[in-house]
Amino acid sequence: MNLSWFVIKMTNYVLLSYRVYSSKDYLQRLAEGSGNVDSTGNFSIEVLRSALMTHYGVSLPNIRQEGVSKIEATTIDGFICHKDSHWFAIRKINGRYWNLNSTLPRPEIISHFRLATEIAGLHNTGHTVFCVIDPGLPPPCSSITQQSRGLPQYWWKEQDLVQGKSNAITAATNPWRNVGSGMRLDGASSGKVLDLEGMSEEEMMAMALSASLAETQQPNPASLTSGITVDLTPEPAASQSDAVRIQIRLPDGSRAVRRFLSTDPVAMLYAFIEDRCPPRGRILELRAGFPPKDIASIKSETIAAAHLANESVQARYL
Amino acid sequence: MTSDLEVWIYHERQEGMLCGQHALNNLVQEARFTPDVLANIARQLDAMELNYMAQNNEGGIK
Repeated sequence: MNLSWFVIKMTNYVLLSYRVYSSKDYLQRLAEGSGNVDSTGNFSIEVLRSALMTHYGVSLPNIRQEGVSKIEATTIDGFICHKDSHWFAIRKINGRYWNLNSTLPRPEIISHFRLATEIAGLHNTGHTVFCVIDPGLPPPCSSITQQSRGLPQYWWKEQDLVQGKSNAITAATNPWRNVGSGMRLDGASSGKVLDLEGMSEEEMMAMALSASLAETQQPNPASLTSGITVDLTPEPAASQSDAVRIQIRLPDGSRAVRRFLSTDPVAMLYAFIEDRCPPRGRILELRAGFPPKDIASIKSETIAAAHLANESVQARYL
Repeated sequence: MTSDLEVWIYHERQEGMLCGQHALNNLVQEARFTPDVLANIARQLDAMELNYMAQNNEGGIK
């Protein structure tokens, strides 16, 4: 916090409020400086509430609050979750819920089916969950001209994410970003972006690689609880017709080959590796394919759909 | 391959300790809030709370 402001504030109160000298809370507050932002820049729920109310006219009640707790989760537009001075948002966009935790490399889908379980899971892991039930959140960005609402590298093409494309593009990697809206190559005048079907595999790879190198990832324990997790099931027998083998380089450098069901979710791989090599508060990152891509965003897909059957996967802790 | 509505998702990734800002901007799907804006709000709330405490001697030792 700003020191000069603090000194003025303190002087004010010492001079003007002599009678509250005995107030324990008050003295504590003066000692702490601020109850709404700490020395590391972490803001209080009151700051977030006030910000949303001032700019959008929406309130941010605790989801367990009376009158809110009975609302069907899938009718809620957005959630703000908090634990250990970390905040993150879940937002309904174009009919789907997205975990927009800033510690994730990219947004992750939360299915309607999973939403209530996820919220309950957050509660169980000590998170406090707030929600937006008032109308007033801006609609999602649906044209390239609206992307001035934010920085280019933070815009993800929804369709790519939904399809679990490992080379999903952001506005910063979109090769058409410099094409003015009146200068479209296909002559159309809408703000719709041309898709990437015409690009060669090499071009897309190079683009995705440069995008992933540009990403900065900061490990944060809070993201351990984000995304999908499943309980590890016993290894299927080799005789099972839908059993597939996956070769894994474990975080400790050793190799493992294990059978999974092709119908298992990709999250099962994470469960297996975390069972073999306990995370101890670290974030497990799995990469597959060439060049290797983080597969965190496709955790809910089956191993078959993710094309991981009989493939190899590299695991490491961040 | 085109869809009638092409949607883009805004996702600020972690920078320093600005998770409060990221959470809000990701919720509203635009870069509305900066550290300055939020720090100002925090200061205003601090002032209001201190003022309230000063006037009401809240939590005072009897």
